[in-house]
Amino acid sequence: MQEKMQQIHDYLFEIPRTGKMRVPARIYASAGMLKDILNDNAAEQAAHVAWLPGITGYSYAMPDIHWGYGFPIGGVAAFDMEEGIVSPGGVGYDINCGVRLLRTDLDYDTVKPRLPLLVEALFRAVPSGVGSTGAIKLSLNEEKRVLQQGATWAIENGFGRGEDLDKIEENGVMSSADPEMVSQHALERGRAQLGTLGSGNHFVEVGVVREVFDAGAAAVLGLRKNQVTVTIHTGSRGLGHQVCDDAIKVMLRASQKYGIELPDRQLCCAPIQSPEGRQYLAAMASAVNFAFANRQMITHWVHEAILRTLGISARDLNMQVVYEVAHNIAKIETHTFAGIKRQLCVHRKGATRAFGPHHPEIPAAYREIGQPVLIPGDMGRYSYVLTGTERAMQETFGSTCHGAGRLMSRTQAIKKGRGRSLTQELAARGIIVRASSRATLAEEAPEAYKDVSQVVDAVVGAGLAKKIVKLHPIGVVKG
Amino acid sequence: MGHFTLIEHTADAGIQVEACSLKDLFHTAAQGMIHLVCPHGRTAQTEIHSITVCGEDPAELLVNWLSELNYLFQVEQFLFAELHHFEIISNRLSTTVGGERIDPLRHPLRAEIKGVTYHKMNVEQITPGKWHALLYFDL
Repeated sequence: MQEKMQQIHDYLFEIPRTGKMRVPARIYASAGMLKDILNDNAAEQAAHVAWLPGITGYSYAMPDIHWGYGFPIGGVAAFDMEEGIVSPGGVGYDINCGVRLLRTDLDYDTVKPRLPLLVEALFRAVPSGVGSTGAIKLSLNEEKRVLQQGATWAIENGFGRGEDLDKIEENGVMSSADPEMVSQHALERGRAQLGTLGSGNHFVEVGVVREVFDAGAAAVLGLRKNQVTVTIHTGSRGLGHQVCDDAIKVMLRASQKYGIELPDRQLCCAPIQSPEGRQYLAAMASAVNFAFANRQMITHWVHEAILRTLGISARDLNMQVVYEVAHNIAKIETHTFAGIKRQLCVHRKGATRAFGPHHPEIPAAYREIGQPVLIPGDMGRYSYVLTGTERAMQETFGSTCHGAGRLMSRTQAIKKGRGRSLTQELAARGIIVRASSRATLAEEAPEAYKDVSQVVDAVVGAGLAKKIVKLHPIGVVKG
Repeated sequence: MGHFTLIEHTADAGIQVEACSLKDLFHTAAQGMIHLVCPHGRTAQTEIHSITVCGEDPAELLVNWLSELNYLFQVEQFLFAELHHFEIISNRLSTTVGGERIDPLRHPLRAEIKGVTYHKMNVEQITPGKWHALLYFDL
């Protein structure tokens, strides 16, 4: 693959169109990052995505690209609405896995003395861990309402405020959802999991704004140096996983039915306009709404836990949603391609929407600066808040990276963590961590992840996003 | 009796399975999958479940069957121990499996399987009495 690769500029490489590729593949990365990407076979996966019918422009990969199932993680692909396909492998199992950033009026010095208590309170307030179940078990009818209404359902049931919706991608609800397209299995898997974090790389993180790169844009987002924030990273839990599982069964048949040649079964798909394609999009949107409601409920519990622990009023805390992004999703969007405005089905799998300034789908308050993009790193280093750019609109259908990506396997990380107390090491650096198991903590050790700043520097260097602030973790709850 | 080997990967995990029959291959693959979620603790057989799935080839049958086992784990907290009845007629596989409900004290859980994938999936009979499978899980 390396010999085929052509360098376009410092942060962009192209795999030319060969064989059954319908378009070239383009990878945003620095030359230094490319070696790891090629070792991982992820570039080959980006080339395989280019086989799929109706792909428009390029098969893109962001600098945090790594080996995924079918599509690589960090992949972006847009498909023509008439000739194109939709693929559950282009969204992934954790549909609408995403990130929400909350700002507060608190300073680091106010929180620091009570940080261990606060992290403990967050750990108790937000159910987490393998197979975690929530404080509520929905009836099937109520669950279907969640799938229809997303974050609106949570707000109508007392979890948060109506104004939160303005700051969520899609305003917290995809109207294309149809719960009747969701299987009984998926409903059963989701029933007891609303308002839960799950396991793996999902987290609730208390952070502090340590660096401000663009004071004007930071002020628009309500962010300033030394301010305490909370980040929530989770998705649609078992419900979304099952929706993907169900869809793959259907799409394997559909790919044969519509004569779609696949280089990898996990890329199975169906024409967007086919019954199978429409059914998947409606079920996927239902799972998207489940995830929106999930993060809204967790926000409510985070709010309560902070008030209780610090003994302050909601007014003094003044916690607000800065923004919420989805990084595993397929959406019908309007983009200008080759000078013509057209509707496309944009798949982002481990990639974040990054609409530039003045886009109508950005909250009115942020329209001048572009859409906030939330890029979590690992629990020991830092995360970033970026904004989308006009260049991202022109080059990548308004898309950018989503995170750091793993460097070590889980087992490697556990082996490396033997004989060490990660909790104590992090505490010595001012980071209080609470996890549901020691193994999870070891698996998620900071050195198990790449340095997210390299990923961010590559997308900023390529002009796909702008840096606004850098957040450092001070308290982490891991699933 | 078959055996499985874990395959390391940065993001997820896979298993390689060697077995003496197709039934043994399914049984061993299920053991491998359960090892990923619950590597320690013995599993008794206090419950029996029936699982029926369809698939066009052994690979599809295996993915669909393991997905059903994963569903039982997620929803019923059922941990697989033993594959009993195993019958394939045309493209339909009927099985009964034994195991028990998760006891948090005896069964510390390590991971959650989001899905059983087709990535690099391979199921083949190498020689009479020797089967091989490779499969990956999204964790």
